[in-house]
Amino acid sequence: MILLVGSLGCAKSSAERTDVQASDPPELAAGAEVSSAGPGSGTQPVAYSHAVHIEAGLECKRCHAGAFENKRAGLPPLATCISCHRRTIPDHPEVKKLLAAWEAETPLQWVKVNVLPKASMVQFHHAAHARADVGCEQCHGDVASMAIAEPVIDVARMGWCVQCHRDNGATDDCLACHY
Amino acid sequence: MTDSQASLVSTSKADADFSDAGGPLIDHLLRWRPRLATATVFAGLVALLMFVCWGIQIKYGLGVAGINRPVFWGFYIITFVFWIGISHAGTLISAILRVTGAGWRRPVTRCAEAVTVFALCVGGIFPLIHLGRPWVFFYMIPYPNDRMLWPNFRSPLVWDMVAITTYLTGSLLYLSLPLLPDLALVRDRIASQGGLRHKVFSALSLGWRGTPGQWHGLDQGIKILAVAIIPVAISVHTIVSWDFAMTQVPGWKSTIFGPYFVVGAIYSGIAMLLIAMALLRRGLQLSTVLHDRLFNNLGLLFLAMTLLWGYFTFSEHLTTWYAGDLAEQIVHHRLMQGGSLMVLIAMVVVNVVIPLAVLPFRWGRRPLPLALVSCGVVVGMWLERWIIVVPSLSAPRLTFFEGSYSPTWIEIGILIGSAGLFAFLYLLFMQLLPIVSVWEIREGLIEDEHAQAAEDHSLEVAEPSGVPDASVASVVLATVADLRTLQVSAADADAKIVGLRSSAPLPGVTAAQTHRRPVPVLRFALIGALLGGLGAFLLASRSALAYPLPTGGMEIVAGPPVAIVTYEGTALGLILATVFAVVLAVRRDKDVVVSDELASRLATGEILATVEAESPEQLTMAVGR
Amino acid sequence: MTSWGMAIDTDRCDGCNACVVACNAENNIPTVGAPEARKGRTMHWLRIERSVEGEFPDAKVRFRPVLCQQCDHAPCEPVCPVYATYHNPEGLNAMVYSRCVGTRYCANNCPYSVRTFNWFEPVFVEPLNEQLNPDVSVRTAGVMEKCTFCVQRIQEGKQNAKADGRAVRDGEIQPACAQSCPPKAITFGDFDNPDSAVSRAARSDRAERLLGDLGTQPSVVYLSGPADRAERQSDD
Repeated sequence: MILLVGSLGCAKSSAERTDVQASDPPELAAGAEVSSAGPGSGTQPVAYSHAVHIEAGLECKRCHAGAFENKRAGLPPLATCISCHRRTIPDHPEVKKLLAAWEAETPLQWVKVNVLPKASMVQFHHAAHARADVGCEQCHGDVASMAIAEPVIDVARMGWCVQCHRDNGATDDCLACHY
Repeated sequence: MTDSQASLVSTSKADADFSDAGGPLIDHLLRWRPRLATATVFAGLVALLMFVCWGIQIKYGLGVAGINRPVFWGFYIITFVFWIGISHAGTLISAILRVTGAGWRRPVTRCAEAVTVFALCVGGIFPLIHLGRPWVFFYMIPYPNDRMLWPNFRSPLVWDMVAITTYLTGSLLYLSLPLLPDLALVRDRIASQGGLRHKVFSALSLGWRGTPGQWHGLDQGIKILAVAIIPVAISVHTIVSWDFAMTQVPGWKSTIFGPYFVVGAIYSGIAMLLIAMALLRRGLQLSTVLHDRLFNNLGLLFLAMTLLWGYFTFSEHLTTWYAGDLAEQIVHHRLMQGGSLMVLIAMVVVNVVIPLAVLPFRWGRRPLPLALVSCGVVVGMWLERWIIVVPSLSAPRLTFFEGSYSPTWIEIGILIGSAGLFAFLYLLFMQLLPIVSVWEIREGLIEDEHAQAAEDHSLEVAEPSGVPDASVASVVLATVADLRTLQVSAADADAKIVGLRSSAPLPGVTAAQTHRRPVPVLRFALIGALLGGLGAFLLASRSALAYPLPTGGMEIVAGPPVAIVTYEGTALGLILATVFAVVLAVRRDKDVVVSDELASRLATGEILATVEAESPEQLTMAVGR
Repeated sequence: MTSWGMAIDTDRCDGCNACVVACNAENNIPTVGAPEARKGRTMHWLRIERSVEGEFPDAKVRFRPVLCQQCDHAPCEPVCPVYATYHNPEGLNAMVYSRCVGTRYCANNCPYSVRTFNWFEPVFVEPLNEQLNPDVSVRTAGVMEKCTFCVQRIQEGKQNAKADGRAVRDGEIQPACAQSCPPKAITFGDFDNPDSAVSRAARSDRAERLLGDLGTQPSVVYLSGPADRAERQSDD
């Protein structure tokens, strides 16, 4: 679990004043490292297109394994990619990168797109929302049309969360998320 | 009023050379004073220390201060209470003296009010310095926000914020309103120079002309503010005391804290005021204005506060000593040993023993001894807050944590810096604006003069009597008695006095005499109070319901907090509406028809009147030519 | 409804400090180092108070783990100007870090002195930074914190039960201190369920509440006293 989290990465909201320090949890330290290369598609290790994969019929949970099961939806480890791409279009330049990484036994350093800022000191249970029939698009937008996944909602805006909770009769207890 | 005062604020025509008029009260504003300027710069540098230390604290965390567990509150809260206490003399004394019509107050009101305003400015910073995350202080302000959260009106800290906001607004306006005529005085004096300074004073004086309508509005406004500010001042320090008394901390949970804090606040405030006055008297050579009688009277008040404070302190410690509540006994025991005992003894010596040895005697109520005793009391009252804050927190109910507290240089730096900031603001104020109320002193002189038999003066017609078809004349009058003469002769000649300007309110002259309805200031004030109270009531009782927070069993809205917020809101509404009405009265007469070329003569205390008649003959008759 | 509570049997507690360590590990509580600790700035959410009962040679040492008592009538709650600490519907005394402005008023008003303050940005020295619990937020400088009854475990437990379509079972949710206690001195559960272990313990005449006469109505009960009394109780 910790290794997975370590590979997630986490971009830091510049609006939050707290600096990343050596004391930060590993996912934050890693995130700061990756995002220092600059935001945008260039920061992802391979040019992955959500649109192409969804069109090919892949379900969200095929890669985001924890989406309906766990607190975190999770980002796919390299093995998930390789399980298909060992045979599927292995000559594609981006897929070649995957295979090279597989050979070199270096994990993919995905950059997390939807990030809860550290200073918000808030927790999010992905499965709880997915199981409560909150549609993916409500928070993630129309991913099927995105070549590169982008945040459509400013998840740092608490009012957006609270409004949805109240509209749907979900709890509005602070302690449900802030701990 | 004494002769020496009369020479300062000339009212006689013999002193028509107005370069001397207003005397040193205004002159110092127009002169470069190297020593004062140096002192200001020095105080500014000391004030910088406060912000440097605060910056360090924000960068590295509150841990650079000496506070710890269980002494979570330390220097910052002590100093906060200290400065809020200092702020209590100025406005309160000035207001009480105004309400009771004490004539001797006149020279002291403004420098007292300035003490209040600047002490509040400095004290108001401390809760922010004290915060762990000062950059989110706005969480405490009720405003519609994206987070859909609301402050907790049950918290004494929110009451504090509301009360101090009200008090600062009220004190600032209470200082500013009576400043208007004096700002206009300076404006008129430097009218010939022009330039930026004149523009600034013109803007600040809001078009003050000294018409009866304006004087009426100001008089009403000041009276209402004086009455309103007294309960606000008392509520502020009571609420500060509730920060402590509302808790269940042994040694804090005390019903006596409200009045005890108010008395202590006034005590320390008078001490600071006396120091400020003594320095002013020396610094600006105002010994004839800030005269010995003033110091004597304030010294007596000071003595009364010494006794009151001593009585409260004794009662407070007697009850904890006697009651036998275990937790309180531990606090008491800790207080009676080691460093705390030293602090306690020092406090009693400078706050009770020395004042009682000096103040009862006439020699002790002269400026120098008073200033020295006051310095001791200011320090002693700071120590008193230490005695209240630290020993109680050092002895929590579960004895696992044995508390101790010693400040770091960051905290000491901020304390020294805050004194520097106060001195800086005060020095700046006294160099930029009239620190002694010229018009109020003049008002006193006019009242005295008015009481004497009217003298016979010939009126001086300034303009434009030479022009044959003129129907308007400006008349310069030396005294109120002359105005009476003019009124009689104008009435005989069927002429009208259409404009009147003076640099002090004229006894017996009302706005009605210039045929304008006065602005009903009191009505404005009452409507404002009603609206303010209603608004605050709704804010505290209804608004929180629009932001329904789950609070477990606790009700979001409770009676007493609503009452407290409503109380402050009523006062704030009343104050704002009063000031609005006064500004209305001032602006209405800003174009009043009296020649501005003559305005500088107002500075000498003369009265300008404009007489209008249908024919030059009538006019000549009216003005006695 | 649920009302979370805890029973601590001080007759069982041998003061081993396992709960303290478990709490630190579970809740990302930083260690502060000796110089800061000397100033009383330790961050432990749970501490073990030691007292000696009786006179030597018949002296007996008693250990009492003290944590946030999750008072139903908590003195810390009304004084917070921003509702950063409040009572949640499940009887938890909540502390919302991101709402906290750091007045430390709550800490003063806590008779149990269980609230700790982040005087500095927390530092997790290698390799402690590799073992942070991702389910608990790391607090920033300037906010208060305190025992949450391991609310992350409560929320997770509730979600698991919900996914399975059942109610939370008694004993299913355990805070780190209870889980790690070798002599099983700590029991956690729902006071509103009269059959829960913690409810049964609270009804025992060995039960008392810390500083109970202050009227804070703690959700933590301490059990102490002769074992035979307890047996009598269970016989009834």
